[in-house]
Order: sequence, then structure tokens, then C-alpha cells
Amino acid sequence: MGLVGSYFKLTTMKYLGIVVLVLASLFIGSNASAHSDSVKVAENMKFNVQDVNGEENTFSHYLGKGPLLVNLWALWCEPCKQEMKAFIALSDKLKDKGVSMISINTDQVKSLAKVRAYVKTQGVKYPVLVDPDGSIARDQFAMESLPFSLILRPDGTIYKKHIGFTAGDEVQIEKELDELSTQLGSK
Amino acid sequence: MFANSELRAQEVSAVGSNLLRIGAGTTDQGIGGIMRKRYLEEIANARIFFSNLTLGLRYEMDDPSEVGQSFQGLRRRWINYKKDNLDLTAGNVTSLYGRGLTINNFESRALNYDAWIDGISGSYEYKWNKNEFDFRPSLGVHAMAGVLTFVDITGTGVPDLGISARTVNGEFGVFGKKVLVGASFLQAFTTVSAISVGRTVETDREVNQPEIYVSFLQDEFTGHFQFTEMRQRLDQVRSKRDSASHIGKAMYGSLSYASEKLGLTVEYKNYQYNLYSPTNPYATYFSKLPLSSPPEVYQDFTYTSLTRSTHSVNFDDELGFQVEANITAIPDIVITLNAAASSRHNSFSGVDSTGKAIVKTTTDFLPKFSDDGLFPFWEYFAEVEYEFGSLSYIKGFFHRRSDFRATAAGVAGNPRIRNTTVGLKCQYETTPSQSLLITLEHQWSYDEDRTENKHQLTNELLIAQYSFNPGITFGGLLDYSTWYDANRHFWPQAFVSTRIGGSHTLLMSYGAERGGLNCTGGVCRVVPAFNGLRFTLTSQI
Repeated sequence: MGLVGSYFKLTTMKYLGIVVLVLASLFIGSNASAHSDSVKVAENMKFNVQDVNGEENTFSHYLGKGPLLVNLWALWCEPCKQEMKAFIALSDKLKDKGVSMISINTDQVKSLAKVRAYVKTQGVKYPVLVDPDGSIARDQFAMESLPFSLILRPDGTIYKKHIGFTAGDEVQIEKELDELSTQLGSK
Repeated sequence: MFANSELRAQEVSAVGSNLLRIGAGTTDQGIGGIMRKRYLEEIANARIFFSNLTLGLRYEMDDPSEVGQSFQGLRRRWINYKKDNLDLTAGNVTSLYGRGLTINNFESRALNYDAWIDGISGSYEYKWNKNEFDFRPSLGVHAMAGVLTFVDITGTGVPDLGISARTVNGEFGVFGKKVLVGASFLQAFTTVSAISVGRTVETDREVNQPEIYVSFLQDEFTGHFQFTEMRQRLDQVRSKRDSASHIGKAMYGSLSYASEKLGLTVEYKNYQYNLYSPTNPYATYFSKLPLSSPPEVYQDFTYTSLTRSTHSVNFDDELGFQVEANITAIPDIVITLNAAASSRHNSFSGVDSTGKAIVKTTTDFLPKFSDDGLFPFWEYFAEVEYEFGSLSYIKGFFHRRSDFRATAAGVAGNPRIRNTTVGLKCQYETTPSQSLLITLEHQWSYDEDRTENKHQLTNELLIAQYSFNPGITFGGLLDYSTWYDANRHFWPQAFVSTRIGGSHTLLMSYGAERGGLNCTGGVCRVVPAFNGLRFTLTSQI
């Protein structure tokens, strides 16, 4: 009976823990667009990154005066390639609106040699960072699935997040970038 | 760092993610038949940033997990300090040196494969500026040390491997690292305890593994070359103490050309960490360490029929190459061509007059296809995509593959598998926020394992989905095979996914799924078929 009681207690606690974690993630995630100017998050974003052309910078180098669209992708991920096409088509228009763009390739060693060739032939004009060891996607973003895109404010705080991609998502993302540009412009 | 104001107080910021996976149904265990299958997995990730410190946590609960061993509690915890070019981490640590011939201790959660070590790591980099030297040199050092109890996922009878390791790596770069020379050294001690003929056999191994690598980037060209030598000494206690030594080696190279209209990548591998020979009583103990994971050197396909049964790389003994071309010279058309091939160094052909296996070793630089004992593998792939509209496209592919279903320490006579696959994929944007996606794949297969119909079988796959952005995607999948597993020819499945804001996706599927060989980072596992209800909630916090 004691054993059964212990098992029941453990199982109940386990399920209670899961419910709490899921509800917390739903609640916190849905409120992610809230913002405070009091924290200089960009100060913490000075970790080194490298792009496909071998150039090294700190991540904060890519934060400008307007929104920054960050797109995480991999060669094995078909929706990521579609999302990239959508962003390439948008890139000139967004640049005129003061939006900066970067993408982060998360392929591991298996596909690393092919990334630059793919990026060049697709006509990507914005910087493409490489992250074969997960030090950006995993350690800084706690990324759970691909494709994953973020809209960051100039101070590095998150304005919006997008998990997954289906054709048409780019319309929504462009709308959110316009909203943020307007907010930033009016300050 | 990328923070919610709700989570920030003073200079503390945080980011996180959550994954909840639930499944209920049945699974086909092959010989074991159809069994009830139920799983529940909850994985919560958090990164907490404070000043120069980062705390990383991953909490896992399951009841039970879908694959592999169950785990309850904090699977990952580490603290990281970063300032300028100094980076220190304590707790669960992972690293990648070059292309991972010596150190690439990665994790694949889908396979429940985990080679992270519990210990410390640190790196420091010094960069001279352009005023001091025109060629902008940089010097970086990295070190890592710790322990790992490695659980082999490929077989339940394989004993856990205790590993204690320390590594050091140095990289010297010029022209902003466009030319980079690196060197590493790994020293590891492993212990394994197994029961043999009712007696415990203790085996200790010392591994000393130096490596060098060079990479460059010049205009359209990039290249990488890496070589490592794995020097090992082994002590085994059965009825008496025995010692043995072995030197393994591995080499990898890549060369890539990238312009706006043509991308070309050539990769070469020659892995000889441990050339298996049945005459060597210690042959199975000298394998590549799980801390290493070099490139597999074949394509990562996105078509289901091609990923269902991929080539399983034998890192201990395999050489081969891969060539890939991306062509965008014709407007609106994207062409991808890929070819890969490999074979082993050692083959066995019967026994000699004393009863010892006859081992033939080839020293060829390229794979050999004339000897089935070398487990030759080859495949080629061509895909043409025509783009119309912003995200509307139609593409077709053709793929051929010849492989052997080989065991790691296999001998000649393993079953041969040959596939020819064709497919079409079409996406059409019906409105700027709605789209239809259809995939049709057909596969002719020759499988020596399947005895019916003279080993011939065909597979068909149809996937159709419709998306209403940004809210909902629904669709169905129909899989058909002339071969049947678990008394089944058809595997129908329906799925629906919905997004809650941009931060959460909920995916539900109901129906039957075919299993297959799932490979990640060179680690392969046969994922059993599943029939039932699946539910996945992914959140980025």
C-alpha cells in the first residue's frame, strides 16, 4: 500500500509539474511582446559570430536603429528553404524600410561544406551566420524546432516570434515589422 | 538575453522553450508483433542571463519516453561566463573542433543519443588588429575536460561505456580567419564491464588522439582538410590480464565553389578508426569514441521515401565521396544534382586452412564496387524546381540507391537493397495567405531481405495539405506498399496543426505511420511503426 501510495504521489506530482510548465509557457510566450526600455539587453549580446564569408562580428553588431529579422534554418529543413525564399523576395523592400536581416544556419558538420554554395546560388543578400555547434540557436535562443524566426528591437529584446513556416506567413511577418518600425519611428 | 519584460528584473533576462509530446496507439515491433504504445514527454528549457553569466537548464519528465531510456529530472545544467574573448562553462558541456573528427560530442534527442560530457570547458581568443599586422592574425585556444557514461542506443545488450576525457585545441587564423590552421589533442580513458561466459570482463582503454586541420576561404572557393590519428592501448582482465594496442586514423576534406549561378561541393572521407577483423579478439573494443562524430558525406534528403532507409555509415571503416551541384543559371529554375559513394577497407573471404578468417584489405583511395564484401554504397539524385509566383513551385526528382543492410562488424553476405525513386512536389498559393502543398513519391525497391515477389516491392506515398495562414494547416498522408508489415499495405494518416500566437504550435495526427531507419549525425536507429494519436505542443518563451 505504501508503495502504491508513493507511486500515486509521484505520478500525480509529475503530471502536475507538466501542467504547470505547459501553462507557464503558454502564458509567458503569449506575453512576449511586452517591452521595457530600462534594460540594455544589447549589452549582453556581444558574443562572437561568423558568417559564411568568414567575417567575424559580435551578434550585437547586426542590431541597427530599426527592427532586426533573425531567421534560423538548416539545409535538411524544407519549410526553412521556403521561408528563406520569402525573405529574399522581401529583403530589398525591408531594407528601404530600415529593417535589418540576418539568418543563422544551424546545420551540423554533415552539411556545413554545402551551406555557402546553397546561400550564394539562392541570391541571399543579407548576412548568413553559421552555428554548427549550436552555440547561438541552442545556448542563446533555446531553440526547440525549425524553422524559427524572431523580430528583435534595436536593444535586442524580442518583439515577435514565429515557429514553423507555411506560404503566406511572410505577409504576417512583414506586417509585424511595419508595426514595429512605426513604433520605433514615433519615439 | 532575448528577453521578456515579464521575466526581467534589474539586469536578469531569460528565454526558454517547452515541448510536450503525447502519443497513444500501437507499434509494430517486428518479431515481437503489434504492441500497445503510449508515451508522454515534457521537456522544458531555460536560459537565464545575468551580467556576464548564463545559466542553462533543461528539465525532462516522461511517462515513458518514446524512444530510449526514461529520464526524470535536470538533464542539462550549466553555467557560462563570457567576457570579451573569454568563455568559461561548467556543468554539461559540448564542443566541436573543425569537422568533428576528434571532438563533436553532440546530442540527438530524437534518437535518445547523448554524448555531452559533465565537466568544464573554456576558450580564449586574441586578435591582433589591422594596425599591428596587415594580415589580421588571431590565436584561439579551447580546452574541455569531464566524464560521460555513454549509453549505446543501438542495442540493449551493449554495456554502458564510462569515459573520462580531456581535450585541448588551438587555432591560428590570418586575414580574419579566412585561412585557419588548427590542432587538437584528446586524451580519454574508457572502462567497460561486460559478462562473458558467466564471468565479468573488465576492459580499460587509453586513447591519445592528435589531429590537425586547415581551412581557407578565397573569393568563390572554400576548403577544409582534417586528419586525426587515434592511438589506443587496451588492458583486459579475463582469467589473466592482456594488453593490446591499435592505431586508427581518419581523414576528411571538402572543396566548394560558390557563385550566383553555380554552387559545387566535393567532399571526401577516409575513416579507419578501427578496421574490423574477426581475427583480432579486441576488434570491437577499438571503435571510434562517441565524443567524435565526423561528417557522413552523403545527402540529407527531405523526401520521406529517401529518408526512410538511409545509409548507415560505419565510421570505423569507410571511405567515400560526395559531389553536389546547385545550378540557378536558368531564370525561375533551380537544379540540384548529388552523387555519393562509399565502401569499406576490409572484406572477409572465408577461412584459411587453420580456420582463421581471410581478411583482404584495400588501400585504394576511392570506393570499390566490385567486391560485395566491402559493402559498396552508391546513390545519385537529380531535382529540378520551377518557380512560378512568389512561393508557388513544382519540382520533380529522380533518385537511385544501392546499399547493403550491414551490421557494424558485418561480414560478407548481408542483404542488398536497391531503390529507384521518382517524385513530384507542388505548392500553389491560392491566395496570399492560403496554399496547397502536394507530394507524390513512387519507389521501386529490390530488397534481399524480403523474399516474396522475388524480392521486388513498390512503395507509394501521397501527402496533401492546405494552409490557412497564420492559423491552421490540415492534411492527410497515404502510404502504400506491396510489401506488408504488421498485416498492413496502407498507412493512412490525417493531421492538423495550429498556431497560438507566433510562440506556440500544436500538432495533432491520427493514423498509421511506417517506421524506418532514422539517422542523425551518423547515429542510426530503427524507429518502429506507430498507429494511433500523436499530440505535440511546441512553445518558444
